[in-house]
Amino acid sequence: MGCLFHKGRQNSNVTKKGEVKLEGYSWDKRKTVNLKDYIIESIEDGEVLKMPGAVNGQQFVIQNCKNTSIFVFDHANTVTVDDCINCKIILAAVKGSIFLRDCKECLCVVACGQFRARDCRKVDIFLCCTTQPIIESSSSIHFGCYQLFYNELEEHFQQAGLSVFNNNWSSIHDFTPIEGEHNWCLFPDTIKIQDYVSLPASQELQRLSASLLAERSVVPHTWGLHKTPSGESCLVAFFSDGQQVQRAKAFINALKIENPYCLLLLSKEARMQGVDAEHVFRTDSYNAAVQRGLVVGLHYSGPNCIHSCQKVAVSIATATGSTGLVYVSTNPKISQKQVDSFFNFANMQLIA
Amino acid sequence: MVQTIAVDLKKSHIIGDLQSPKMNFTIEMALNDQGRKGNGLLSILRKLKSQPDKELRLLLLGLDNAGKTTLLKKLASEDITHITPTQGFNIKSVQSEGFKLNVWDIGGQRKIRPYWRNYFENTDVLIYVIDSADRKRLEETGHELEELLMEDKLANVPLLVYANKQDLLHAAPASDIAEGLGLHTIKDRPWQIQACSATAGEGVKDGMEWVCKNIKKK
Repeated sequence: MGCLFHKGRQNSNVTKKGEVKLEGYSWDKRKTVNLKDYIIESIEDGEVLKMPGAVNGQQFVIQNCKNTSIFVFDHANTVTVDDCINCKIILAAVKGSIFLRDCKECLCVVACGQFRARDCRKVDIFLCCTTQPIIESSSSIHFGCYQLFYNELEEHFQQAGLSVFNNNWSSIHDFTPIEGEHNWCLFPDTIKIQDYVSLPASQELQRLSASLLAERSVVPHTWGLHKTPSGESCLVAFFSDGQQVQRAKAFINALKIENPYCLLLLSKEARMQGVDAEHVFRTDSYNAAVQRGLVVGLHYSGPNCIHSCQKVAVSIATATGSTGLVYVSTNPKISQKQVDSFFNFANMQLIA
Repeated sequence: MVQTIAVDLKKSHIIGDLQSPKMNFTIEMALNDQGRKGNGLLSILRKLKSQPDKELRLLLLGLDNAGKTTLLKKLASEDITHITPTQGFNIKSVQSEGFKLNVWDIGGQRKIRPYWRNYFENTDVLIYVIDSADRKRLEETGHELEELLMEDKLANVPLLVYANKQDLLHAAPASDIAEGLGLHTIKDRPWQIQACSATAGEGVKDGMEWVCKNIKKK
């Protein structure tokens, strides 16, 4: 990089008339860091481990690696992955976008605000993505649901502004579809992350209690759009009381035991207005509850789903003494419509 | 002295299918913006009121992931926490006393760049957004800009380049980007490069001030 204009920020603005501004921007006052700490490049047959605090919310770059495993147990601002071959990459939490370009035969476990891929081939993605993932000029891309745990991960999700419930991993938009072919597909239900990647057996990682097991994951496993809802649908909503996330997670775990055929298809954490609430719940009883903060909504599907959800909701409230408000569909005739309207309105919030 | 102007801000969200010639208006809502302050479209509009034109059109272009939609939403003083990659385009418009400012944000994926030309007509200022931290694609973005500057329909249209994402560690300084793009060789229009961070809101206003000064007088 040339240093022609290296006089600080006066020259961040180059104008025809040579106007300069005197007050500084934050990036001109930034402490100098060693950029090499925030880039992994040109590694072959290696293993790189970044522990909590190593990236600390900064931009991160991965490029030109081959046969290498890369584990970033931290939160990052935005990440680009370029020209990697046969690499396994875990990126715990990315606030903005992750952008994969010119990668092939790779595996990537990532939670992010945006997922983008261009010119990639044969890439397996285990994803938690707030918005709709997009691919362009790519083929043989497989998607599955993100599963990861380590002690600091929940905190890293918060620092990255991600919600463990806002996961659109299965609703892919392809900019370059080819008629009669599939550039991407969803992993079959039987696939597990740990069959594809294993964590290094280092002492450091044991200290973090890192795990790829679904039971421990901070992101609840959702079946996504590929599971055609069979049987009845049920909407379960947890209203804000500061504990709604924990209550929802306890519910998910208890329901797995109560009725394993009742599947969690989608989850969402969203802000609702009174008018939205009336539309979804068909009553104005929840108008005050939605004003208090984010609502966690779960879409369950399966035989006897409504009954099982009702039962678990009651038992959790009794067991924990929690008075936190929860809504469970009661009428199988309208429950699918309730699910649709909750998720439709929540997705609308994501559109510019 | 604080001057209060009563205005109706009309936010139009338009999600269109670029492959169909017909626009689909899927959402439209109006709200009153009187209470808001800031660097948004409204303050630009106030500055522009002496201009004789009834309608102004700003066109936001740039590669995918450059930050165009974040910039657009920042200008409209909207929440920028969850922004989806743009599949078509977004428009924001502000109206005041019969005067209208439209900002068009068009998706930047390689596949849909050929559709950019559908939006060139009657552009008053071209705003080109660059991800300064995406070193790998600085050449690609330079090439796309070069093509734009050769378009007849954009001839003489003032150009503002936002060197966005300056808050990121790997960001190239705006001066390096200006040099890399050869901006100094542009002789057929006023131009400016402005370092900014759309997410932090820094530098955005400075760029918009330049826009106000350089709106073409028709």
